[in-house]
Amino acid sequence: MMTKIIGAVAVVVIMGFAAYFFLSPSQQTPDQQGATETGDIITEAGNLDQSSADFDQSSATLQEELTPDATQEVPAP
Amino acid sequence: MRKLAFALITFFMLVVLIPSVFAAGASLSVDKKTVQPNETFTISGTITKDDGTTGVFTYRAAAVGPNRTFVCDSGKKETGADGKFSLTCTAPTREQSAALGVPAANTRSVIPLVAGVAFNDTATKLIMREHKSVLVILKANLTNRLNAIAKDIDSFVKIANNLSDRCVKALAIPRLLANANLTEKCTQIKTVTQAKIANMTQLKTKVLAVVQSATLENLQNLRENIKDSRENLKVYRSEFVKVKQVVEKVRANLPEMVRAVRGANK
Repeated sequence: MMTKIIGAVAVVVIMGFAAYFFLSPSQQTPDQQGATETGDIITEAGNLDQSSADFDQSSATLQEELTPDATQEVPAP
Repeated sequence: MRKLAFALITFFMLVVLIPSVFAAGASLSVDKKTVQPNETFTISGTITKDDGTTGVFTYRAAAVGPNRTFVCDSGKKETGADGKFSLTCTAPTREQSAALGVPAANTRSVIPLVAGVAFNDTATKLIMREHKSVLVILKANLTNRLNAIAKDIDSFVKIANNLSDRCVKALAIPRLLANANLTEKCTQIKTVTQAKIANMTQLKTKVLAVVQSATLENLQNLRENIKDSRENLKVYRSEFVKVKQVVEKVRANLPEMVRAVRGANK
């Protein structure tokens, strides 16, 4: 039982090290790291543009619906 | 010279002062500012001459919807000797709105009505008008629309925060920090984003307040707030588009920058 627990802990520790080694940004080369960060900024700017457009569209509809148009006038008797 | 002055004063009195003595005006009221479909509301008022005396006036009272659709219309009528008039209207259902020709009747959340009166001013020969706003509220549609706007604001705030965070992360890399353009743009966007997030969060609070209480005043204020926010958002969008452009440029030059640094370190 003890051996199994030690074995499991060892596996977790090894996987942790492996993940740290392969996935840690510090292991990326400087240009890779720069490319990742700048790529993320570009992606988020694109997402924000889409999100702003969604808000603009949904709120514009309500704004338009709330605004009387130029034809709305009581006609002359 | 004296004759000219006399002539001008006489002209002023004839054209401006004398007709205004006989001009007429109307006091107008509607008993409800917001109504649900099928709910009745009454437009009433009194037409009087400017000197306070009443009389018989020819008038037309109506509630006019978008695209010149008539929700109710008295047609040509005459007031009593007291100058009073009244018209009771029923707010249209969605089907009635569609039949009348209200644009997007099936999907819209509110129908703004211009409720008022037009009357002949016999003294000036002019048609005078007075009106008030009445909103027909299609509750389920309005709630859905407001919730959708609140959701869009949440999404916007989340992504705006992400962009700001990404900029902070990028500037933690010495090589990127060394790029003056990127530093400047990222610092700018961080400041502007925080202000924009505060503004949008306030707007969301107002949107949710209208979900709770859809009064005419709340909705008219919200309309103005939305208008302002959309204008500001245009400016903000142009800001982060600039950031994107700078970042794209930096990204394209990255290999060259790295080579230059490596060369300098040798």
